[in-house]
Amino acid sequence: MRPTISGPVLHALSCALLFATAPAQEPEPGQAPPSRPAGEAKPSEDKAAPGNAAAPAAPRERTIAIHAAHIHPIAGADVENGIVLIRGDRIAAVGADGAVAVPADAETVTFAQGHVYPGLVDAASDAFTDDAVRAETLDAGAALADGLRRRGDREDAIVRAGITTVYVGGRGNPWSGQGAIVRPTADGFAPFPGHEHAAVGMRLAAGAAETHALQRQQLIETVFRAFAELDDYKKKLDEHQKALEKYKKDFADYLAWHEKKNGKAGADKPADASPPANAGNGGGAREGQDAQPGARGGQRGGRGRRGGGDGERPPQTPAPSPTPAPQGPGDGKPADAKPAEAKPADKATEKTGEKPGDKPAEKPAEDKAPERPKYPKAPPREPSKDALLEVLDGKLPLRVEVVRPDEIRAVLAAARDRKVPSLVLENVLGGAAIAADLASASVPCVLTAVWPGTRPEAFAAFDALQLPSALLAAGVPFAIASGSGRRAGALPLMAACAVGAGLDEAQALRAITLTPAEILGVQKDVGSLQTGKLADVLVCDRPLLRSDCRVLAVWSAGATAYQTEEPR
Amino acid sequence: MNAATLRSVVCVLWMALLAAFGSAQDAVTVYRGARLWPGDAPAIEHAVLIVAQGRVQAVGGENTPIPDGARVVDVEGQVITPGLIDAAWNAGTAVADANEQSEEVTPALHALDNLDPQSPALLRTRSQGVTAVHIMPGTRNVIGGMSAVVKTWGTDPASMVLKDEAALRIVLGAEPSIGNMPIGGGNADSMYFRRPGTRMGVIWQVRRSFYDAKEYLARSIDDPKHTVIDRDLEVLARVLQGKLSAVTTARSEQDLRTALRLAEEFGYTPILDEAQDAYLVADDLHKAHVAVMVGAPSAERVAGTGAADGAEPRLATLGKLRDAGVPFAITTGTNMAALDLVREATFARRYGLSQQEALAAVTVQPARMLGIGDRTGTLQPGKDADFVVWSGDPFDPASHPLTVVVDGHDTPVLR
Amino acid sequence: MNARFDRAPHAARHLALLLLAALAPLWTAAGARAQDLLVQCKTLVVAPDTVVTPGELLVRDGKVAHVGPEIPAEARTRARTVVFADATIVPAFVLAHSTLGRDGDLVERRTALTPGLRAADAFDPFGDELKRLPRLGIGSCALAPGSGNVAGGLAALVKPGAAMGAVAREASYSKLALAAPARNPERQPTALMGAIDLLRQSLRAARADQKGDPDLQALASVLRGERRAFVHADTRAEILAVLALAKEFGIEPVLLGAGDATDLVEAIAQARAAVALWPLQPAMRDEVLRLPQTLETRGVPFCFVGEPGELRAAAALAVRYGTSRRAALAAITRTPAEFCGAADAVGSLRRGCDADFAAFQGDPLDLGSRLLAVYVGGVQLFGEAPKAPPATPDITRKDSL
Repeated sequence: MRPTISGPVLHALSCALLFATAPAQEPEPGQAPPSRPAGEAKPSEDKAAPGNAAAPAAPRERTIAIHAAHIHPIAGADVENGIVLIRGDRIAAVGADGAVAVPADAETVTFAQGHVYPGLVDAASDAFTDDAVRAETLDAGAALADGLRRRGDREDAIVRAGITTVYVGGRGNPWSGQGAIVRPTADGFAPFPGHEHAAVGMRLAAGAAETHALQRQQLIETVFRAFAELDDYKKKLDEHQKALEKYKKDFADYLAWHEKKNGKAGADKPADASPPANAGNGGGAREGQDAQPGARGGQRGGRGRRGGGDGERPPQTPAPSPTPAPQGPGDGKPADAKPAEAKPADKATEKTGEKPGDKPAEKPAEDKAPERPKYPKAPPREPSKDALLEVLDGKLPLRVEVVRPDEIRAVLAAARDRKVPSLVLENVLGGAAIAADLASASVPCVLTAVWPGTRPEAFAAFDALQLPSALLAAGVPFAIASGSGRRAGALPLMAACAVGAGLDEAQALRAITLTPAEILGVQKDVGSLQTGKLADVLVCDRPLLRSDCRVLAVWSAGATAYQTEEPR
Repeated sequence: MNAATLRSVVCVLWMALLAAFGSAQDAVTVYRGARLWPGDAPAIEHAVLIVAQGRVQAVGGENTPIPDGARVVDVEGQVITPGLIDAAWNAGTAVADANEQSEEVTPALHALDNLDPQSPALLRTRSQGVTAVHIMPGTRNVIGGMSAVVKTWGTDPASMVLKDEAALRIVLGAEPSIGNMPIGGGNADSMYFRRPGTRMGVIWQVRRSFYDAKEYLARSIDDPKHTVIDRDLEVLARVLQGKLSAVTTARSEQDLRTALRLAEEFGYTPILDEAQDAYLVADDLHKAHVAVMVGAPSAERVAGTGAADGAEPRLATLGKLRDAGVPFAITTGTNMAALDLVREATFARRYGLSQQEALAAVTVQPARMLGIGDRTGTLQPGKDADFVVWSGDPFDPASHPLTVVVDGHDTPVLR
Repeated sequence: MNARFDRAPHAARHLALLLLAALAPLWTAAGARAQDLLVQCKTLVVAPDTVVTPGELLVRDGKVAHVGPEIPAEARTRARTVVFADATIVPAFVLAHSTLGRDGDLVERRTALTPGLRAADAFDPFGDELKRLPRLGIGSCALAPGSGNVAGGLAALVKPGAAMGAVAREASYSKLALAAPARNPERQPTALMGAIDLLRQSLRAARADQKGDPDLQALASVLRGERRAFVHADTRAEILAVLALAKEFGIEPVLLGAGDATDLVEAIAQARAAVALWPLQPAMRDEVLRLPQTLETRGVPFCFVGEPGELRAAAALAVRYGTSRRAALAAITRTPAEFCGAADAVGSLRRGCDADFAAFQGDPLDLGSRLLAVYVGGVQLFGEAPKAPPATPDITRKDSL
């Protein structure tokens, strides 16, 4: 005989019971409960309990103390049984248990066997770019930062793998746009303030195709010619700049003159209600009053004034100043010292007719008014050329992806000829052969191909795994990078490959943390566990380079970006 | 006691209770309150549909008794129909895989081999309310092989198969003959440089194959031990003996008449597929007791080789078939411009069919034609529980499937 | 010589005879048997679930004679000892499917059915790819016909050697394929349906064959269970077709490729089929990277095949994405050896197995461990000569590097 309570109702009851008896969250073993001083309630403390991955609290002066068995700051010796103290979004202290003072209001997280590393820095990736950017020909002016977007689950895995800073580059050929440095998060990315435009990228077209070395060198030469064509552009820009300076100065003089003049004949001004449309006239009706260049913008004459009706600032050049009208010198054209009340406004219809010839006749024999300065016309701007100029000024590094030794040599020579101050090479698969040249040119390298595998026939001779050791021996700074958002999860394994081929383990770790930070120019903020840097912390359950290493937690600028749900 | 112990105790209790009441899988589910179209009978208002163990247990009006302990799903205001059946489904398989092009006549191949149970096309089709599809070989071979009827969802691939070797596909028209040129204008050695190159050649190929099959049948009477077995001819012989259906794809009036003529000559009853011009030969079809599966009636252009196949679509053709007494089904077919099946049926409804007729054309009629009428196609006690809960009248363009149930399981659909 | 002998006085002759007698054993010993090799290391992995610490291995005549404590004392003294301090020694990796760069010679293009061809006939003992194998830790490799035929032929297990390579097993397994490379618009079959039908007909013909047709015999041996069949199937439809054929003919195939198998693991397990996965690469989707873990949990035997250079990295990636170390190591040692029907010879270091082993500075599945040395058949083919304790000079053999 069936009892009357039906299955689903019972199910609901028991679920309710289970939830009622379950604690809000499991306290982590060995962790001190979040301690709060009695009378002082921090607003965000409660929901930011560790273990609750769903609430990444804003790092508003939140203090976190991470205890772990092994701390690897990268810049400095490893610490056993130490603490990393985070305050807000920065690291406050790193040291052994006894050496670091933990404030009472700090949240404590303990990893009994854990290994703590700084957040990894991936110096070359195509994450967050879309296929159009990957495929199309970009120019040096295309800023990737404008077009980045989160594309899918693979990109969430980047921060879960412990990577907290990524340089994103395009894939165009030969120019790949301006890369950006971003901070990946659990659901996308955040820009790295100040580094939205991080480098100008170049990708040489030869690829794995069978080409002659001379052909490749010619190609490189052709691409670098873009730097030579900048001279004209730069000259025009400089001239424009000078002209602008001169204009400013001249206009200041001009205004000063009129101010002075009108200071003498102040009441003579006709109450002209219709100021000239020509913005250049501006001061017309109210000479000396609103003499700012911009203020005239809105004046519009109804008298059929010619030109300048658009009120555009800066005032356009030889606008035939209409109304000689009320004002004396209000007009652009041989602005002459007409007597202020000389002409009534009705004369608006006069066109450009004011010939230079007319004026002098009416001019009183005063000191000649200075000529109204013309606003210099700006040369057309080209974003790509602007970007290259920034490269030449050293504000942006030039990143070139290149493989074969002869291509590397050609790039070094071309960069030297064009006086590119800051050069970074990417891929550099064939770099072992000319490591010495790289060292003498002090060019850092971002290695994106450190993984065993088949290579095209043309590249079969280059050993990707030996490359880091060869560069280290020659003294070339290098970073190991994933090269692609989809490969980001294997970044530590790539470093491990290099170790397997003879690279020192500490150097391998540096190649995925501090060295890429230096190459990207953000070493003041990321790359190692040091006081004052951003609190990017990665915790694993065993040494990072081991194959079965699992990431336990990741903090990005003090906020929990990932925390595993598995028991430790 | 602490929290952990309490939880274990509750878990143990829960297990015991579950054992006492039985697992959820054996539960009877009742869908109550919808307007239900059984498929071959008028609609029932505020119907009660009882489903147990993957089958329909009972269908009735609001006073139908509901068993105790059943899970009741309230579908008030919604509409339940049998799951739709697409009798000529385009699986999206690449042409290269849908047609074995080394020969023109390959009767022994199975289209079931191309089934990918996780394919996105299958998910999309199921999300549109279709619970069974008829997979056929492609249209590039004169006789491409044997089709299969499968459900659009199953707990494992084997359970999805409703009927393997459902019908033999014969294709008339210009399609099988295009492409019979050496690749890239290559040498005459290529296997593509062969018959048929014309429409005549296609018909010739069909007649040749059936003629050989007839001879083979005659020979096998003298050869009781069956020492010589030709697989291809075996299959054709089954068609001649009436043991296997034959689906003939023909679009234009001329091809339809040819199809009828061939069938009469060799003594089998075909099912005509695509058949956009069927209304022009409706009386002949009725006389020959031939059923028709009309492909994509809403399309402006006929699929296939277009001009060469010559059929001109008209809007109200299905009404004419109904008037002439020709049984017909609506399918999506080979036309890339086909809407999903329920929209094709809506189109037909708009242009002359009644609600009952339009619904039958995508449920019970294809089930009968494909020989799966004993299992699905209508909602009757004992049949598989394949049905769709629509948000409103399925022929209202604004309504969509809320739940698609196959074998009593609530299947995952795109939202 | 004889003249002098005759002229010598009797005493000298006796002395000469004595000298000869004394030296004879040395000669016979040299002619009869090479010296044993005693290998010592920190950890010896005989098989993924049999680990000996500290590790000791006695190699005799190119095979493993004794392991660990069983090594008899007198053999120890007689043997030449090499020591890999702090190293882990594992069986040399087995690559269960490769074309070793000889793709052109391993696919017969005109017809799709060539089950009787033997890859051993296309083997080049002096090939470069073969020479590269020890550098990657690989001790044996199955040279297989390509996937351009529905039935490509019989694969051969080959091994690199000091001077030249050798064939260890002539007909290791039968190679079949249903995947896209086997379908070709220029000849039958052009479509998947056709390929499946062709394979089915061939297997039926093999089952019915009485006359001993060599082509059909190759397939018949698979039906009798004498060797396995590797079937290349990538998509779900292809995998399902292989499982259906397996059920129809009662065979336990090895699915080669099987990238889309994530949804079909249960079906594969029930069919008692096995899987040979293309190497995992970092850019692959998560579900493919976790496929080995799913296979391990469900108990489906699997191995990694593909380019020799990617083998070890594939195993390391599998570990990264959830596979246990034991299963990942088995996937490149013992399991492929079983698939190739050579588990008694390669893939593990039990008594009687070939002395194929690799010494790593740490766990081989950690890519940071350096490969120190590789021995095949007791002969060192890669690595520096290890430091040996001072011992009797080896007068019989020179190890080549």
